[in-house]
Amino acid sequence: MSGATPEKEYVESVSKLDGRVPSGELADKWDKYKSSMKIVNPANKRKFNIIVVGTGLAGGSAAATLAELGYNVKSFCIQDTPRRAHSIAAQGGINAAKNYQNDGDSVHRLFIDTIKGGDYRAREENVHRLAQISTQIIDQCVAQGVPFARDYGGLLTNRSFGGSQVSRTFYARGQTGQQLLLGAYSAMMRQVAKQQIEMFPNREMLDVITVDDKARGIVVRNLKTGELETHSGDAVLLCTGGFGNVYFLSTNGKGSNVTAAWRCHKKGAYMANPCFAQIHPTCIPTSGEYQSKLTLMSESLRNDGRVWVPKNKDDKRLAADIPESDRDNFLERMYPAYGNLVPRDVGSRAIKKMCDEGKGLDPSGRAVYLDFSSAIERLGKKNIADKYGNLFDMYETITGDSPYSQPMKIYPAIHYIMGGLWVDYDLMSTIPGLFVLGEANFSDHGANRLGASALMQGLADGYFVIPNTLGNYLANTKLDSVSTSSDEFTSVKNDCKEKTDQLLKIKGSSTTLEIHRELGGVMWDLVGMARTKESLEEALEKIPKIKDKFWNDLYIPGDSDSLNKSLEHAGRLADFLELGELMALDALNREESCGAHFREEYQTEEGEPLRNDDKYAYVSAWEYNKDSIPILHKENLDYKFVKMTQRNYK
Amino acid sequence: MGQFDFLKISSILKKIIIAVTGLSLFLFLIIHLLGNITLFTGNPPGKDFNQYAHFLESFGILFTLAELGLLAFFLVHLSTALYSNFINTSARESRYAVTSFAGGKSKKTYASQSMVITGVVLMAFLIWHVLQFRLGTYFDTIYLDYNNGEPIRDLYKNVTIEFTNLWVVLGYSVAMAMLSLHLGHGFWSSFQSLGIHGKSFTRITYSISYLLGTIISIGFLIIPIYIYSIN
Amino acid sequence: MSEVISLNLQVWKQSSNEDVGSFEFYSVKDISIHISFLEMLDVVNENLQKEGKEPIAFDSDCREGICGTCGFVIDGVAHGPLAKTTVCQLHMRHFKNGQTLVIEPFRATPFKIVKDLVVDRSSFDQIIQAGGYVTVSTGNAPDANNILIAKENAEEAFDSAACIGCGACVASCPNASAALFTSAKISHLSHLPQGKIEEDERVKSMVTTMDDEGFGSCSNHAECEAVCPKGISISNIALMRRNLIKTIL
Repeated sequence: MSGATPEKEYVESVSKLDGRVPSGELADKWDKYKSSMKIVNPANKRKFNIIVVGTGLAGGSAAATLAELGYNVKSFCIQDTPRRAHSIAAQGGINAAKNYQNDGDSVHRLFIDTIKGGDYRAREENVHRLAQISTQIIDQCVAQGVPFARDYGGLLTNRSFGGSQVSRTFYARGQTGQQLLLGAYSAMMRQVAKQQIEMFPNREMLDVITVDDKARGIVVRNLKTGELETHSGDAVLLCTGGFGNVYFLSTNGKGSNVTAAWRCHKKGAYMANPCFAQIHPTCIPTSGEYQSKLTLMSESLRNDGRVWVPKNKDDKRLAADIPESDRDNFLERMYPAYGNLVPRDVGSRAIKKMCDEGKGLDPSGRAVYLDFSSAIERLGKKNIADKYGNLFDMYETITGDSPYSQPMKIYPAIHYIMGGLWVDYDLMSTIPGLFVLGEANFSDHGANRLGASALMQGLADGYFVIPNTLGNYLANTKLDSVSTSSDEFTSVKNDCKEKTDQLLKIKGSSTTLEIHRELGGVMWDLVGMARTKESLEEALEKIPKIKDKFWNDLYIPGDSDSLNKSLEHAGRLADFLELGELMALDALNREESCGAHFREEYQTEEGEPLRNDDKYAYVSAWEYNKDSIPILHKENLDYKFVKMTQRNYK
Repeated sequence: MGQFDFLKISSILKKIIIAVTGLSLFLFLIIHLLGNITLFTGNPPGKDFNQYAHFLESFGILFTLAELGLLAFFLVHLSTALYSNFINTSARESRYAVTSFAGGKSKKTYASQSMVITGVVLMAFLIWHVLQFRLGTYFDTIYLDYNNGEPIRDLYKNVTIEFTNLWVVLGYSVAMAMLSLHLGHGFWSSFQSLGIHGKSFTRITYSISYLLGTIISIGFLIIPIYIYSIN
Repeated sequence: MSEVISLNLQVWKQSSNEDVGSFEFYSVKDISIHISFLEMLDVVNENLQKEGKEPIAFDSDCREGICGTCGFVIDGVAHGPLAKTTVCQLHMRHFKNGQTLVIEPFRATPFKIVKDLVVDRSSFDQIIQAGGYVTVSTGNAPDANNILIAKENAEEAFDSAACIGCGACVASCPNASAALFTSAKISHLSHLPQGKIEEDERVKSMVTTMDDEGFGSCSNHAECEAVCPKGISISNIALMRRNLIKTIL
């Protein structure tokens, strides 16, 4: 390892991290690899206990599929039932290279689009596998009874999504995530009925237990009774989603958190690219201090809506009273080729720029108009209602304003985290036996995710990747039997108990919400849409202070023996505080702009993100270093199949 | 998948039984009401009515069987509903402090919630009604041009005796009010319980249900009021 | 219209299912009309914590009306006065200044109270386990377009599949019946050829489980449809009954 330079708050590992990608041609790598894998004998499968944490698209599909194969699965979720995981909130759709529309789509095209969308910071081979598997996902979901949209002939229909040039997105109205999740959930329930899955709802994973350096168990807290439980298994699958809630306000569910992943990180799993956080441009702006979450409005709105602010920042007239000549349709002005349909990150930054210039709308100054008046004039109110009726109703429910009569107000919000625990081609983390699936891992989306690709990745990992790679691990690994009464288990359980007690003992005066809000403010302002060296350094100064406040002045009512929402929140917040620091550090280290990571110092003359492929074509994988500064490991991205180019939306 | 036990009557089967018996009893009510028209015709008054009653009785064993069948329908309808209600009550052991009506698509009414109460009151009324007439004092009368001049039962006399008592008329008014509420929810609901649902079918049956209940109840009530008013 | 309102809340507090429980009164001042009902409760809880008092326990997650986690009864109506809206999407502008609101948990014997307004709805999972799925293992599926489904069937299947499993139907039913929930799943799968195959077994098994879990029977009050955040129709219940009659005949 190299020594730490004074201004750097980390050390860099000299050895390169290896993704353990099998050799061979890109297109048949996965199939060849699958056929060369060792297989667990069917009769032996029932001897293996697999722990699956999380029941979203990745966890639900993995648990169901592994149980179908004959493994004993223990499934855990923090919700009261697996059907409520936050995958359920995904609206838009799921991509698949079916080429049903005969518009030139192919596995290769989906692969290239995803790599490009990720701004060349994803692992090529993983992405190609994802594109390959995408078609099987749709078959599987349809067979389960997912009611995808259909045409009059009874065939599946598609739409183009997020600026894609082909129509490859399958959808079920605006509730695709819900329908896919319920498909995985029903497959799970079938296995629960067969007693092939044992279900543990209302459980929060607090730690991973390793025996002989392999992941062999977990500690969970029963959220209803407060009881700490340990569970053992032959492998642990972490499917715990993303950590957008580090920003306090995001489109994530209130329960979404980083705790399970972070505790694994502290036990040796590397955290990769944590600073890659996607921001969605079309969310409903905050209405005040007590806002608890942000609601996404589908991206499709930008197909017909025009984004604008008043030219004069002191213009206090109602939107309808401002004539076209006094409006600045800034996306159309700045990006004449794509106009209102620029990618998510480009749109988001443009909106932020307007608001930073003081042109944002009242009262917060953090909102711009998304106006449908010209579309309504052109296509008629009925047409617009047919297309966006549901969304307009949702907007009106929340804001009380009708988008038919006055423009919507929108503002960007944190939506998805591309970063996550580092995994190899087999989806295994740096802790052997700990696999990470879905949004919780880092592997497929690079620095930015394409619309309708999150659902695809979660299901690909769970239905089709892990059943193969896990079997290979189990067949190749010597696993001694472990007992939950062993020292390894009890000591970790005691650590968890101590940590909980410690939180309850602080007895200060600040609530978890206050501290979380404060952390979120710092993260959004300094580690948000546009970052600078200064802002990140400021964040690295401020977050430890909030952390101090947390550990010295937190107040949690009640005790740990029953349902205690404040205590749950405090445990998660403790981890967010540590994660926030690492995100800032990761962003500071990456002295380039790529995808969703925009460093103001690194931009083209047109204000486009400027990558530095010579220096930063790598995955930053951070190792936790107890009592010391983190260690940075790099996985080089030597692209063999795709040529890295600069994107341009002008 | 779990086992399905045919002996254990499922909640849905219970509702089907209630619906089938309910609709049959409804049909009986219609026939009963049509039969009642004979009270207004005939010279001397009551002649058509008594002859109609005699005509029914002349079926002998068949008539008795029909009566027993009817009784069975009443009992099955009532007991199934009471059993169902018992389960429904235990399905919510702790009650709400406040209940209300959601409105909109809801078809919950005071009537729909008091089917058991109106049903039990109607059963009590039925017993009273049978005791008054079917099992009431036996009078006879002779019509020279009917039944070969042999005496037949003068049920009309029971009617005129009973319905000249104001309390009886008031009692019948209360019972018929109950009937209108019971039919108001029961009529459309029976089809729904049998799985017969269609956008317009359900809209129409629901919208005429309460009206139908009221019309039938008033139809029945005309008799005591008419008899009371002419005497 | 004033931007803030004050309210009197009468909230059910119960420490566990074994506890008796009672109402607690809270006077809430200066609530912005632009926040949601749950955010209003967040404010109440913040203030309670500041006073060193135990907050009101309630469940929520997505706060955009799709996960089905939140839900309680406001003044006798599940999810409150606004149709097709969960409490997380219900905003304070729909309430009047000075109003008194009675807030109770979803009450039904199979829904055990965990704490205050949080109830255990795991009996819904039991019902789905009894057959709310298509028997197909991963990897068995034919090409998706080999299964043709008429657009209207797909749409109707979706209407039923939109159920978020919140339990408002049970909560609002005078009989605490789970007929709408159960029938929505049965109907979703019966509208699709994939689900049609197991239709008979499914309806028998799911209805039996629904009864065994201790839910009441449906008396056609249709209050469930009125409070359903997704507006799921009682036509599903009729379909479930038709399917069951078919299996008996």
